Amino acid sequence: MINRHFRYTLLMTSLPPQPVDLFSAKILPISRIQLDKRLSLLDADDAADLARIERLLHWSKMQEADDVNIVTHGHAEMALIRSEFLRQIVLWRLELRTLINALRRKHAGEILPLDQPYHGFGDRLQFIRRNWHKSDFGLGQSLPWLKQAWQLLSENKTLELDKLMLELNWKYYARLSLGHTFDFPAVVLYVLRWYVIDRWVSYDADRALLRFNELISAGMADVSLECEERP
Amino acid sequence: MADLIVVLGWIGLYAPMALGAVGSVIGCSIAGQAAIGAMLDTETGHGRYIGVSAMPSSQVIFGIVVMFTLNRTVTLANGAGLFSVGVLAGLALMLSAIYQGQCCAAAIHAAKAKPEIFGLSVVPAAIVEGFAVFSFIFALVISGGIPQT
Repeated sequence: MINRHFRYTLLMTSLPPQPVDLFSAKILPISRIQLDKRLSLLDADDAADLARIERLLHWSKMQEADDVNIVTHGHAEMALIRSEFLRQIVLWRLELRTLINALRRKHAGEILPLDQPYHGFGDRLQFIRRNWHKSDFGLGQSLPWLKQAWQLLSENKTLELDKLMLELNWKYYARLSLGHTFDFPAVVLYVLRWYVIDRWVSYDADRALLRFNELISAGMADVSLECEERP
Repeated sequence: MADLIVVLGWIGLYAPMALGAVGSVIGCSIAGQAAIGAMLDTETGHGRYIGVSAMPSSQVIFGIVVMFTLNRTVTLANGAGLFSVGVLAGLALMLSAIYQGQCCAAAIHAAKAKPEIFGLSVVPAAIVEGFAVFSFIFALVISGGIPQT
C-alpha cells in the first residue's frame, strides 16, 4: 500500500514545478522531449494508460473520424483505463468538449432534429437535445460557466472563450491533484496540466506572430509607397 | 503456554530493532527517491536533500538501544512484559520512520519549488521524530520494571 502511494516519488520530484496561476506562465516548465525522458520511469501498464489518456484527450494524438466513431472508440478506449479516478478525469474533459461543441454548433445556427440522437460524452446528452433552444441547455444551475461561454461565443470573443476553458481545466486538475503527490494519478495530472500550459504558451506565440506580421506589413507598406513614387 | 510466553518474550526482545529497521528502510527509500528526483531537476542544494532523506534512519538506532536495554534471560516472569514493550515500541518506531519518510519527501518536493521554505518544511518531519523519541524514552523507562529473570 505504501509502495502504491509512493511509486513515482523519483519521477514527480524530478519534474519542475508548475505555476500556481496558469496565465502567469510565459514558457513551458519542461520541454516535451525532457518530459518524455522522465516519463520513461513509468512502468509498462501505467505508460500504456497514460498514452491512452493522451490519445483520448489531445487533438495531436487523435485520428480523424466522425462523431459516432469518436464516441464509440472513446468509450472503448476509456474502458481499458484501469483506474476509475482516471476514467472520471477523461470523461469530465470529454463531456466539457461535448458541451462546447454543442454551443458552437448552436451558435453556427444548426438545428438539431429531435428524432436523432446527439453524439457525445457524459450524462447530459438528453439535456442538450431537449433544451437545444436554451443558451445553457437547461444546465446553468449545475454548470454556471455555460452561460458565460455562450455569452463569449455570441460576442465572437474566441480568445476569451478559450481562456475560460483553459481556466476550467486548470482549476479542475489543480483541485484533483491535492490528494495525489507521488502516485500515478499525480503523474497523469502533471502531464494534463502540461498540455494546458503548452496550449496557453502557444497562444502567446500566435499573438507574437500576428504582431510580427502587422509590423512587417506596416514596414512593407512604406517601402512599396517609396517604390511607387519612383519614376 | 509457558513455552509460548518464552517465545513471545524473545520476539519482544528483537522486535524494536527489527521493526525500527523496517520503518527506516521504507522511510529512507521514500525520502531518498525524492532526493534523487530533486537532484535531477536542480543545480544546487544536493547535500541538504541527502541530509533530509537520511532522517528516518534514527529509528533503527532507537530500536537497537531499546533491544539492548530489554536484553535479559527470557523467563515466564518477564516474557509477557518483554513482548509487550518490545513489539509496541517497535511498531511505534516503524510507523514513525515511514511517516517521517513521507514528510521528508514532501519537504524535498516543496523546497525544490520554493527553496526559501526549506528550513520550515523540515519541521513536520522533526515533529514526527519527536514521537519516536517519546516511545524510545518510555520504552527505556518501563523496561526497568521488567524482572531480570
